[in-house]
Amino acid sequence: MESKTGQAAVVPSTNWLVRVYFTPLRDMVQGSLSARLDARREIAAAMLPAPLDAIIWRVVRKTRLWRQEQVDVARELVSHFLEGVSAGRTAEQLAEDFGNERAAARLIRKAKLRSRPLWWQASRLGWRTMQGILVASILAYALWSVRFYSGRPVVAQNYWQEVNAARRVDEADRAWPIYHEAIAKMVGVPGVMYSWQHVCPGDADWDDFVSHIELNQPSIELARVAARKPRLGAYLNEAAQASDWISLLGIDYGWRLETLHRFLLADARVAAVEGQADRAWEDIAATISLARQLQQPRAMLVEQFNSSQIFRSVLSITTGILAQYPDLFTESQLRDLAHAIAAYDIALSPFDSGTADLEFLDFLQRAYTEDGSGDGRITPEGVRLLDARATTMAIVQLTGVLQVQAPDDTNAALAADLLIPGVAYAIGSRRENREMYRSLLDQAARAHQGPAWTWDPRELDAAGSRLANLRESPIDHMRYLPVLMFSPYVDGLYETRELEIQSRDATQVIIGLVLWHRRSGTWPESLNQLVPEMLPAVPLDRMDGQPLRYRVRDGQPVVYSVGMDRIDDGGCEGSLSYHRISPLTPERLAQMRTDENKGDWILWPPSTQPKDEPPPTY
Amino acid sequence: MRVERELMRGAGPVAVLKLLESGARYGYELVEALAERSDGVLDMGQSTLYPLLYNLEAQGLVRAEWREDGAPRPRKYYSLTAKGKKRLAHDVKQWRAVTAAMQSLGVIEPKLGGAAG
Repeated sequence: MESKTGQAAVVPSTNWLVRVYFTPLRDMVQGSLSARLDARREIAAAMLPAPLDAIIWRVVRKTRLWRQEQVDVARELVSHFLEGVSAGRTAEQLAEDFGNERAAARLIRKAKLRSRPLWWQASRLGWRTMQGILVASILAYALWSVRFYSGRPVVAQNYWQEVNAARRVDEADRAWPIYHEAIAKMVGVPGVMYSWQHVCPGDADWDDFVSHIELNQPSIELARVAARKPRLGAYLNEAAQASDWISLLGIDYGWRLETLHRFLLADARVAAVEGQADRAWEDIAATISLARQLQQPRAMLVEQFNSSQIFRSVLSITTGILAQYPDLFTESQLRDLAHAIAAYDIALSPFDSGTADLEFLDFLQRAYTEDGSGDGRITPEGVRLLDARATTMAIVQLTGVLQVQAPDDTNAALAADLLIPGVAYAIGSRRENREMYRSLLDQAARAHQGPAWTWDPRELDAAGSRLANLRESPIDHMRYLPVLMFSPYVDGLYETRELEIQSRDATQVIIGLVLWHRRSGTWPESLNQLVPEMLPAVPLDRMDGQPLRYRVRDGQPVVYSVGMDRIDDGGCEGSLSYHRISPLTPERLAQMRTDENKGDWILWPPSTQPKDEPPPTY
Repeated sequence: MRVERELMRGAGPVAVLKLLESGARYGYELVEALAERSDGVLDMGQSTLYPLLYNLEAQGLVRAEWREDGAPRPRKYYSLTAKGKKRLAHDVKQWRAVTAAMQSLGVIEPKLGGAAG
């Protein structure tokens, strides 16, 4: 198609795909590829002088309007120029009078958009609002990111140094260096040592067990020497950070001593089997001393836990030996044993040492900024500390982003850098977390006040469910992530204390019974007969506050607690023995207790349950 | 003399509405009439006129329709709507007030024999 000047400035495409694009659906349905929505066809059909058709096309194209709108605009401008040409104006004059093309296109677009239907206006408003929100969000996120990445923690206090100062001891009185040597000399830990409490003479593993104990005599002897020292003298690594695992903090000596104590008690069992009373007694006394040494001044919770484990373990072995070999120890050894056991101090509260929140406070100062009033926000270092501690914790599921910083994956690291401020935004402030942590500890302390039988099960449930609720709510989980990652297993610590008391009291009773039997050749009819010569008083059952139960059955004594259902089943061992010491609500108790599901907690003689049954965990 | 853009932005629409008061007109006709009747003061190119007309149409002040009416080619005629008439009356009143104020300030000379407009 040519213009009147012989030039074809605007030529519509003949490509059929283009024609399809510019053909209304109705025309297509009727079988016509009309392409009547192509503004170029409108312009070309007018055969305007070349500068004019080009002006129209440029303006129309720049409007970026819908196809039909472009056609309308093109038609009107064509009409305008044709009027001008008819009036005798030249193409140049008309082009000059037209004005600024770009401004025209912009204004036409603006005006035409106003004429579009309401639904389009609404969607445009919605889209623009979303764009606005997006831009504002990006801006806010960028500002938050800058603020986040500029945050620096202030480490003002070395808590570990303070703890070490409280437990400092003369080198001559330190047991830890000797224990350390004993542990270093230990020869392997074969599988049999993991079930050492259950291996008996005649078992297939017994010979292996005995020869392994013989092999480790140098370590065992060193442990006995160390146990005679007044203090453990094990110090924390003052350079450790809150994110570090206990091995870096230095408290791993607790676990290592737990391993060592197995050798001592295993040696006591071998000695008992071989009738070597002094050796067995020395091992038991050394183990009690080891448990007591672990109760260092300002003992950390994990140390208290280790100490408790060792103490309960020695009580269990002692009562086992007394049941199997009641005549092994001399009366004097039995009395000394009773005194040593009584000397082991069971704290009224696991948090008495004032170290329960040290780890958490140290984390806060290393993870948060300090605004001068005790508050602050999480820093990149804080996120790194949480990440380092999150190996197996829920943070991995919730904030997988924290785990993507593989050094060889720059894209993943970049994504993490971009996303971490967002994750950090959800983490609560320093004050929020500190107050929640304290509040949880206080609530747990209130719920566990006094002996176990006075605990209110509903208060216990409330305290337990509060922590569980924090874990279950995605928002609270993130807000109190530091609390959840550092909160100790509070209920377990209180229960452990009660178990310790129950086991200690029962062991004192058992020693009294053995002494009585040795003197009279019979068992007493009541525990009251042991008072006051063997016992200051009959200890109370931690389950219900009543005197510990005792009866003689088939000529053999049975010392027992009513167990977790708080019902005296006559000293019959059952499934409701002592999986949990905290009282249950009446509803829970009713649910649990059935004819098949009942029983007492037999404290002596040792359990007849299958050897492979796992011990209760606390 | 052509007026500056800001002034044209205020005067242009009312001028176009006024021209349409006497009857429907098409774009080229409006351009010519504006230039002729305002002594070139309100002369505007298509780049200004057509966006202005589209705006008036979007506001519902004018109505557009293509007509053949014996011309060699169809023309798009613009006419006032009822809303457009109301707006014109309102704008005229405002312009008269502005003119009177300008006159009392001595910015414009009063025409002999009648008020402006």
